[in-house]
Amino acid sequence: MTEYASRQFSAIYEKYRVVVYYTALRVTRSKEAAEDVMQSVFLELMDNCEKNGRIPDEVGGWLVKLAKFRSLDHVKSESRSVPAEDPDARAGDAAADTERSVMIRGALDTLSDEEREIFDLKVLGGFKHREIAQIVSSNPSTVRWQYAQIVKKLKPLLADLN
Amino acid sequence: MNFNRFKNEYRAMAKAETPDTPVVPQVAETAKPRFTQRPAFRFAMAALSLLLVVGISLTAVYVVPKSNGVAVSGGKPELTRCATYDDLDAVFTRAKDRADSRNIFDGMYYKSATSTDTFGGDFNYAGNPEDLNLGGVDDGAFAPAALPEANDGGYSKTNVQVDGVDEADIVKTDGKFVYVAKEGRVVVFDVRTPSEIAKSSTIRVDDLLDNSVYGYARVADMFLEDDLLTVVFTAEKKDYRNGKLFTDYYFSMRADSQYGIAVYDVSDPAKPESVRYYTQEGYYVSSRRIGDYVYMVTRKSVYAGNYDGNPKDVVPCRCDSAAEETTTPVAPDCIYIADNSTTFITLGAVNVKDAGEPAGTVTVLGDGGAVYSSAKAMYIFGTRYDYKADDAEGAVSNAAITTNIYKFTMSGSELAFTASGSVNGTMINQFAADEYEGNLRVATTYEGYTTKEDKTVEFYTENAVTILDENLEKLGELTGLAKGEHIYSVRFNGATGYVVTFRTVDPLFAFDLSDPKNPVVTGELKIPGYSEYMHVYDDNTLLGIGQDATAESEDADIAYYQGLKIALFDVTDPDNMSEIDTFYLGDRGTTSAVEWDHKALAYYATRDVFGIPVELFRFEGEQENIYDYGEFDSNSFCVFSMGGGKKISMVSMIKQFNEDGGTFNINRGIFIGDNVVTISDQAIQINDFTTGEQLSRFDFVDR
Repeated sequence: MTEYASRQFSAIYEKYRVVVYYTALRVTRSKEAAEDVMQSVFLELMDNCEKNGRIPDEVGGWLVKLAKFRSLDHVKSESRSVPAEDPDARAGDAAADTERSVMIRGALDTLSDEEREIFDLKVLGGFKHREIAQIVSSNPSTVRWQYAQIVKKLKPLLADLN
Repeated sequence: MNFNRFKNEYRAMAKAETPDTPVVPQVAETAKPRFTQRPAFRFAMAALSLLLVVGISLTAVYVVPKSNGVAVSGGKPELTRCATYDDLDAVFTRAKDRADSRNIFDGMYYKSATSTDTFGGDFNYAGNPEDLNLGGVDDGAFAPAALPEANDGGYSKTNVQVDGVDEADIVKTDGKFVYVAKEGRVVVFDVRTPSEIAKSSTIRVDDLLDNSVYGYARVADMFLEDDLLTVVFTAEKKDYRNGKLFTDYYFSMRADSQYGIAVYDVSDPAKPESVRYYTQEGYYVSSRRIGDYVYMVTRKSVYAGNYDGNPKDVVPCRCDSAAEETTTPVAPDCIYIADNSTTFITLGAVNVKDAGEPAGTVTVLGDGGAVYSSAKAMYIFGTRYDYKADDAEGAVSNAAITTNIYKFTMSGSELAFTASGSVNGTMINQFAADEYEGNLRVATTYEGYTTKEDKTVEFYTENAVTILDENLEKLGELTGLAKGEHIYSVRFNGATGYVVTFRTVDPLFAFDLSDPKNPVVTGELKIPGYSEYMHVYDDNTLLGIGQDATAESEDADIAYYQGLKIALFDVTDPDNMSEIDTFYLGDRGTTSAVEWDHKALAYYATRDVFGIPVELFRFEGEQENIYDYGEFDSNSFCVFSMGGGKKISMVSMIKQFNEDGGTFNINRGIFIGDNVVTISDQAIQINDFTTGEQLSRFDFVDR
């Protein structure tokens, strides 16, 4: 890969890694699995770029969709085997819990999975409504309305946070 | 905290929590060709349109594993009925073990309503006359003398999907009075004299409640029929700490939310009288009214991380003024376990005419988000991620999202879970499902990816129409439709189905579904733009409301919506469908709430007109780029005539002006006689819908 390409790739990684991770986390519900998925998705992108000589159009959507499907694959295979206990997966969190993050999570917990997906795509991924519509198989107007509903739902919860 | 700050903090938090182990590409010693940005993933639209020419008939196929990775259907969700609460223990214990200690996605409830909470207060509320003095046009109007007869010509009702199955809405009317849901109240207006709209009464749902325990009522929706107003509302349990009421919403939010219905006798709208109430725990999904019964669906997500080994603590609670006075967990034999989800979907049935008949409640442990109801059965749909499909292990990986379906039949207040099934893909909205002659037709978009031999990944998008029998077993299906496009709207009309898909142009497909085992595409019409809502004008004519769209370039992959488009389609001969007439309104950015909320359409068949709210955007000068938005112009409620199904023309554009000459966003319009009543968050106004002349208005202004 050229120096230029490598920089492009790093920029894409930096821009989308959070939304890719959170997409995987939402579907797999496991930090370990989400990290695996995230890595595999970016590796996949790299392979794809080298093979095709270009970055896919709408690479953000490409990454998120792949993350979603890879996560589903993981969940499917998980359900057949006995999941191993991983005490570290839980312990690691406690330290990161500030009162603030607990409150933010709490507000977001009121969203359904579908709403959370749209919210994360918008806020963490920076996607436009049209791009979100492509990712979630909907149309832009519905996405726009759903996002407005989400904002309506969250705003009163924030009123009491300072 | 303001919303922007919340988003920023969330972003920062998410960034901090995302592991950072960059996948860094190796920089080669010798330079390889540079990446170039060329249009990629070009689904050959021209080639596709050749594939789907008019007259192709696809024979029914069951989905089979194919090498392109289409997921196998199968994996019907099983439902087991509980004998005791302990039957739930296994699911929750397993879920708790899997839950990360602070997993943000594991649901919201920490505890259920306790079973000793009294819910209702003095519910013989007879309308407190003093409420009427909180503003209003003038006090004298509240005791109206004999008024002239109501306008003749009828009125427009809520635009529902299925005749005979009423849907709740934020505004309801009987042609004489208009009921408006407003935060924690319903405000009742007398519109019998259009030139003098007057507030008649106010219903405060909080007055129903035992205010020492529950409060913060908010009205979500309403039904109105036969002088009975049924209000769908939510109430929050008050949180007391050390004997004091704790008002920090965040920290008290973990207490239960009860969604319920309260029925009022409004034979005298100036004096509504409470008849009964019923609540069930969770967030509101949807509701329907069929005959004397209202059915409501709520959803409760349980956070398994705090499960304490006592299933009764997580089961949704209900409260029925005809049965118990306190919130009580749903009985075990009314609980069904569908899968490993920790979300309950609860269905309640209430007789609104007989206050003494106990309500029926059924709850399913299995997620669901959308509801379709025929007059005979209610179907609840849930998107599944962790399904147990018996798919073959292929050499290529594939994954797909499925929609689980749970069917309930209703017989008065008796609810029976009767069947479960699933289809590949996701539904756009409730119109994607329809029951006909006992069978359920579902239109879905499904996506997946395949990993090719050279290890590159390719996404696919396809659409399907599936027909399930009364046990939700598959009878027939059409798959592989409109590849590369998503469904934008669906409308079933008896034995015919219409589906609009879109990527850069809009194929409108017609299906002949008269033989459920052998569904057939009978026609396709390709036109620019797309419809997001389709209305059956008559068996030969469809009305479509959506957006006009322009492709980026001739063979581009992306099209940009360009403003509102209303169209009439001749569907007499599905082989030869055509667009009879179109009406374009506004520039890019122009929308109507009908595009995502079918209830925003006011359809007034007797006068051959309809009305929709419009948010209008216009270009001052020329549009330079196809993705440029116009400037905001105004909000309005636009009335169109349908010219007997031949021609659409605008009759009037009704606006509600504010003091600065701006316009309020209109939520609903209702036709009554010769007039239209428009309702925004700020005002309710009556205009002659033909001339546009304003007749009267009431401003809410903090009332």
